[in-house]
Amino acid sequence: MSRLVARAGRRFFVRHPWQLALAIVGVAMGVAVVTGVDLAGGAARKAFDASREAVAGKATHQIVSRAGTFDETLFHSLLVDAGVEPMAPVLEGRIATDSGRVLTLTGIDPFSEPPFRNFGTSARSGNSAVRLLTEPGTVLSTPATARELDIGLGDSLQITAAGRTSSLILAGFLEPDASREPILNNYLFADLATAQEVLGQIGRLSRIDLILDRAPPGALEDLLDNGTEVVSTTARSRNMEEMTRAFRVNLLALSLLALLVGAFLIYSTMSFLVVQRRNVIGTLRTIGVSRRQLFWSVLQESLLVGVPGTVVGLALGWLLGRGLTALVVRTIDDLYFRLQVAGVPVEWSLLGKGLLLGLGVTVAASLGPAWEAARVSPRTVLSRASLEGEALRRAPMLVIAAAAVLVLAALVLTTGTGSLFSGFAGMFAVIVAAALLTPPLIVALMSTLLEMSRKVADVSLRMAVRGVTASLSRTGVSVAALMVSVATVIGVGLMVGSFRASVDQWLAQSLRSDVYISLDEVWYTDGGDGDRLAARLAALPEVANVSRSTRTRLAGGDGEIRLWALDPGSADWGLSLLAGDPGEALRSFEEGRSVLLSEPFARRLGLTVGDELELPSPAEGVRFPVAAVFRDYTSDRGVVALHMNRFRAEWGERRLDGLGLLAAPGADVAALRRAADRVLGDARGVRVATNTEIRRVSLEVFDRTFTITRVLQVLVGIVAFLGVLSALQSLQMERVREMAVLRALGWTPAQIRRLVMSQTLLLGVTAGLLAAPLGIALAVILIRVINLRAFAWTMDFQLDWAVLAQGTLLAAVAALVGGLYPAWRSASRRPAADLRDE
Amino acid sequence: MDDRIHIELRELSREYAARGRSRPVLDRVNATIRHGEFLVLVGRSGSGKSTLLNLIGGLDRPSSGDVIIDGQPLSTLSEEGLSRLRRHKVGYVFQFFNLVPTLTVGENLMLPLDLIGIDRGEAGGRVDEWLAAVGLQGRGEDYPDELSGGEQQRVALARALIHRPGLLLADEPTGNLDLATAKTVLGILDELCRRTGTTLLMATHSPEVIGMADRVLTIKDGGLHHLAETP
Repeated sequence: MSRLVARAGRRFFVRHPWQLALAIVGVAMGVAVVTGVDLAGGAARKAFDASREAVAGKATHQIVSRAGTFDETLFHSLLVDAGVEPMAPVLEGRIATDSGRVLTLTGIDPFSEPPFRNFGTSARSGNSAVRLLTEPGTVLSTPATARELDIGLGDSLQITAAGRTSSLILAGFLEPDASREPILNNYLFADLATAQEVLGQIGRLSRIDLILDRAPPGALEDLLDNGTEVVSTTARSRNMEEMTRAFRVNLLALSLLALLVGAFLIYSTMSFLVVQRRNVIGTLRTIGVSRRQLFWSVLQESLLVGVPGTVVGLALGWLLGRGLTALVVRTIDDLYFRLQVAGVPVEWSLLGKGLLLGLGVTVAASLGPAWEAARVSPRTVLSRASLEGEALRRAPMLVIAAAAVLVLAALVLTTGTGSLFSGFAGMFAVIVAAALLTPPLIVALMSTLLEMSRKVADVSLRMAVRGVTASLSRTGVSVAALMVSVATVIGVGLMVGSFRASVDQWLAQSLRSDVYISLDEVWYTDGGDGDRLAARLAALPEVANVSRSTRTRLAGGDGEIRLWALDPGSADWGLSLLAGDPGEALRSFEEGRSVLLSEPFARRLGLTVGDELELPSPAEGVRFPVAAVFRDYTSDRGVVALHMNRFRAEWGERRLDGLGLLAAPGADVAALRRAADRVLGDARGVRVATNTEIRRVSLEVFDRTFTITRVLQVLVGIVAFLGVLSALQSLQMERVREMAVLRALGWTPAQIRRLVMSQTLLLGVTAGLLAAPLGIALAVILIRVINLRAFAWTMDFQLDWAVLAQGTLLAAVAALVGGLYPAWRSASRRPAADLRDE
Repeated sequence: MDDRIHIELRELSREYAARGRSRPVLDRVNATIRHGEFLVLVGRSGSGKSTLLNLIGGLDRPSSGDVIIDGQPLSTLSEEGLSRLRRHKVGYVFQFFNLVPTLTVGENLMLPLDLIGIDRGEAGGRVDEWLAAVGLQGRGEDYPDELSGGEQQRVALARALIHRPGLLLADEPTGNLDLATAKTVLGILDELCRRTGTTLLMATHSPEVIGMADRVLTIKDGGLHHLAETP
């Protein structure tokens, strides 16, 4: 390509630095959002991996039990009969200190440990592993944990586990490396026998760690009974990662949406650059520059925007990633599991992805304008009238193209594979169709407005209306870009609003008791403590009913099942059924003959009413018919509800972790709570909350979860504003001669300003009006397709007019603010200079 | 001017569609133009002068018929081929100068040489030579918007001839200039074309050009006529 052709393109940017800067910022914002979300997700994933590695060590496989624990004789059988080595037996359980700090006590066999874990022990604590063996009741901790608990070597620590108090002695310090220390700060390590004693699990193991360089040998599997199985640590890790997948995918979708908006901005900028230079392009064609050369020239110019935009975007993305990591971790903490993040590492692969994405999107968005520059014949290029004529002539074609894309989108959304990818593809197709429809809709809208404005005396208003259609090649692109941005803001706003309303409604229906009591398993492990407490509470005159529940996880190699055992007592069970006959379902559930599935669980496993589900019980799998599917937002993995009586009969557990108290007629909630507090006294591991408090806290968690969504929404809004600012700058730059003619005809600067502002307002309001239906469509797709496929839960669509009004207002304000500078500039230019031809 | 045929128009027609009807602008035009000839096209606005120049320069395609330049039918050339033809054999001058505003005067002149791959040293020498030829020595570093209209057109003239195209197509080159400046520009144009043996086809309304031309053709009702033959 001619270096002078390239230079001519570069100098255009030098002469219009604001346009270049706005385009660069647009790309940078898009790249920053994607990179920021990626880095935050990467930091959380790394923290999760570090957490897994810190505890599982070098184990490749683990023997686990569906019942949670199993007999330690299995370890000896495997060692003696099968000669499996290396192996390490482990027992884990939660303990609480007097100060209320909850830690995980891990019982290990120091002789078996070396191939698996090497935490390092400090010289000052001597041979602490030997002390663990020789001195019962001794533990190891990190120095940080010891400091936090205010104990030193040889000091004793009072703890509670399984409802009993014990005393542990700090025998030594673990000295892990910095990356593992934050995780190990939540652990105490003891000899296996000590842990079994303290946790009340004599002769029991939680797991056996194995290092296998291939699939488990048959001899090993033959020795396992029905309740135990070998699972790979990566499978377990995948299972945990799977838990947060939907959450991460949703974040990614939002960031891609931001990038799409950024792509529209780039497309709009590059289109303007081509349109503004049609004369130059025509001249170059007459001189002999070929179509191919022009095509590559425009693409090369796009890199002038893409490269600095991407580099700035990566730097901003890293900063954004640091902020978003805190939000992501808080959400994972709220919804999934506890996570400790040491920092946001610079992940080169993610930065590389951001780089490719930024440059790729810039080049892809410039392909159209480049093709446009190369396609048009030099004869028509030299005529502005032909340009706008072509834009108007093309309008009906755009309707046909939009209809075709919409049909495609409908096909992808309704008959696709059900994957998230096809959902996103369908959603993006709808956005593209709406963008294609924008120019014809502008023509229709402006014709109507022009007809209506005939009776209005103000010429400038009619000129503003006509100007929008007369510059359709430019206004079409800028309105489409602004519309897509605002529609995204509206769509996400409506989706979040609908989701919140559905969750609120679901909470109101499912929280049937007035006061709830949660019982920590550290104190209420078994032995009927929970039942005794329930009986004492039921005897209170203020209490009409006590409901009982337990949540437990049934382990399995192919993913765990969350079981919710409940006994609603005489109260309404509070479930909102989506499928199944309520009367029959309640009857069979109360008799323990069937299970109820939460919506995400049923969808994930493809189960419906009448199907059977096998639950892994300690003895063997038990099959239950599915009586109903109920709405539930507690987990996107889903839960299985079973009556408490049947659960206890099959699993033999008597642990309770939740009680619900319904106020007796005439007793208010405050009185009920006071009565419950009297019964509970200063019992430990008990938390009491009223129905109202739980609803409030739940909605606070919901709002925290969507804080990150709102942050991304704001960023998309900023990109939208930049887009309109850039488009208006270009548009007004194009019209300096027209304005100069008006000045020559006697228009005052104020009239010019009014004309420019009315036109920009018109563009903004048009974009806002067109964004409303697209925003609603996006919200419906997000709710009915994306969320359903990501989280497997349905929600009711709520049309919030305030969100629509805010969106339209955003478009109008963005346009007005964006038009201020061009209006001032147009009015303050010297007409004589602009009246010159070049 | 020599006897070799430079351009041949064979049954050349061009129609435009408007409001669903086709309107013939050129209707089966036949003509030959010799190397080094200075030929002027006159006619009313919209008569088809610019259309004919665009067809000869390969900027537009005929509805039927053909343009043959140096024995090469343009209908056989692809878009790339037409670009190469313009790059090597055709120069253009327009009413509105059409200089590239983001390149300096010197770079504007360098552009056609750059496209045909002339090395920078030789190109620099030619730029200086042509700046002198159009009376703009020392203005190579200026940008087009720092020049007067007449000066800009002189740059456009130099840019059109600097790569020795053999054929110069000029579409109302003085239409945007005052009388005195127009005369100067026409004088330079005539002199440069004759000196370099360049065939010059000029569409114009200006009567003073007629006396300078070897031949004057009129376009009327889609046909091409010698001035004397004009019906």
